[in-house]
Parts: sequence; C-alpha cells; structure tokens
Amino acid sequence: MIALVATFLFAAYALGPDLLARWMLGFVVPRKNLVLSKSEEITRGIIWSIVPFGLAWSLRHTGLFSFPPNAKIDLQLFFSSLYSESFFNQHRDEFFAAAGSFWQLNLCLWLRLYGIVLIASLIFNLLISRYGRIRKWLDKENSWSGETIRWLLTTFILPRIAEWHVILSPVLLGSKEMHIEVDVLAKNDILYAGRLADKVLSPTGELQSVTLGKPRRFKREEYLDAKKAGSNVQSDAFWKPIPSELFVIVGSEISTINVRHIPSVPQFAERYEDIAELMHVIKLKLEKRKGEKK
Amino acid sequence: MNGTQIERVLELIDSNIDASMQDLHPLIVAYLEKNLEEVTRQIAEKGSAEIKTRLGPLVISKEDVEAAA
Repeated sequence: MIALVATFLFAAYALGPDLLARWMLGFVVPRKNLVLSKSEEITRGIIWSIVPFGLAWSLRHTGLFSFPPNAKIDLQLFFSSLYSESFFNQHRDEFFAAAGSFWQLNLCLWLRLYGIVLIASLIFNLLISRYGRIRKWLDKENSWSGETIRWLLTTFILPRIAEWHVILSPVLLGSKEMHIEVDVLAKNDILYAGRLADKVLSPTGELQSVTLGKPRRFKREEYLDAKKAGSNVQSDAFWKPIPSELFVIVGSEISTINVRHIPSVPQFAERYEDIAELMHVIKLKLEKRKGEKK
Repeated sequence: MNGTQIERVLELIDSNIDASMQDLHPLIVAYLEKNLEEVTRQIAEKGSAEIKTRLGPLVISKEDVEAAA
C-alpha cells in the first residue's frame, strides 16, 4: 500500500507538472517531440517540477486551502499506519483523521504547484508566440536584465519548439505587420513562390506540407529558352500566377525552401523618404477622390 | 536545433531583411511611380492594392497609406 501511495505521489509531484506544461505548450506551438528513455523522462520531469514545487511550498500558508496544522505528526501517523498493519490496528481512528489531514496537505500543494505551472506555461506560450517582437525589444533595451531574459528564452523556451515551426511561422517576425514569403523548389525542379499561409508538421516535428497563398510558378524552360535566344531577359516576367487561393505542396516533394521575412509598406516608408513621399501623394489623391465623390 | 542555433538563424534573417529592403526599395519606387494612378484607384475601390516585386507582392491598404504618409 505504501508503494502505491508513493508511486501516486511521485507521479503527481514529479511527472504531472511537466505533462501539464507540455500540454499547454501544444496549444500555441507544435512541440518538438523528443524520444527520451524512461529515466530521462523522469529526470526531466523532476527538474521541471523542482522550482514550481519550491514556490508552492513557500506559499503553503498563504490564501485558501492552506497547509493543515500539525501536518508533520499526521504524516508520520499516516505513513506508519500504511507501513505496519499492527500500528494501523492500534491507531485506526487516528489514521482516518490523519488521512484527512494528508489529503488537505496534498490538495494545498497540488493547487499551488499546478497553478504555478499553469501560469508559467501561459507566460511561456505568450513569450513563444511573440518571440520575434520581444527579441527586437530586448535588442533595443541592451541592459543586463534584457540579456538575461534573452538567455533564458534561448536556453529554455526555443529548444522546446519544433524547428520547422520556428522557421515557418510568425514566431520570429520582428513586427506583426511583416509577412513571410517563400520560394519552394520541388524535386521535379519546378520553382513555386507565394505567401506562406500554413504548414503541417508530423508528430515528430517533420514538415508534411506547405500551403501558399497567391502562389506563382516560375516558367523555367521559357526563361532558359529566352536566355538562349540571347535577348536581355528579366526573370520577373516569367512568374506565372497559379489560379488558386491556397496551394499545398507536399513535404516529401520539396527540395529546398527559401524563406523571406517581408516588411510592410509603412516599414519601408519609415526607412526611405521617397516611399514616404509617394505614400503622401497617394493619400492626397485618395482624399481628392473622396472629395469629388461627395 | 537548440536555442543558440535558432538565434544564429535569427541573426542571419535580420541581416537578410536589411538586404531585402535595400533590394526592394528601388523596385517599390519604380512600381509606384509607374502605376501611381492604378494603385490609388485600387485602394479607393477595393481597399488595397498590390505592389508587384521580384520578391513577392506587397499589399498596401488604406491604413498603410495613412500610417506611411
């Protein structure tokens, strides 16, 4: 019986927090699935539960469902009764009273432990989903605390995410106005390009498909023919729009992927005065049109 | 990839964004100068227009014009 209770407590305190954290992480990003041995799983679980448990323990007398009084004596009585049948027979009434205290003690710690893990997971999720922007902000701060936060993110947060998700998602974008454009070279030598709309990853984090919005195909043969003919050709003219809103390329057919983070027009205008001036002209024209309509 | 490798990728992307912006700058200016009326018409009628560039189309909306002007 004592082994059963010990196993249950080990699972609840050592493995449960890590499982909850992984489950929560799965809502925001495809997690990297690592194949770990049983001992590695247990070690990882213990490491991930030590800090939240320490915090839960320090908060045991704070708020609702607090730590019961005389918990130490009740614990000794409870485990002694589980260990020895003769002790249990002699202290039957006290055992059941101690069992109530044992439950109260665990409830106190579980609520705090899992609450801390839940809050920490939500913070992790937020940090992951806005990593690119947070990184830009930390770059500007350039302080000791900024460096530390960046190191913590790099060491503990990023390695838990599937690599393809890091590369093919807005996680790394420095601003929400930016978007991702990709060129995909298929194994049959056809080059596709378009705005990255979505991707599908396998449970092991491998790329299964890439979905492009406003897809284009490069007319490579015509381009090569034009080049052979000796005329001064611009490659831009050989992109043919594919009549489709979403175009899916199966991962096994992909040879290479070229990823580009494209800034928005206001970001260009911020950097280049001539673009800002042209935007101003368009704004005036739009206002003039609006006035004419009225 | 561990976190350090991802950071290296990020640094590479950062440097490439600068290069992409420099590449795209003359293309955007040339496109807008040539198609200013058409871009204005499309924004007025559809709410947005596309600036076609070698590195993919850039969508420009009324809000973008307001923000950028």
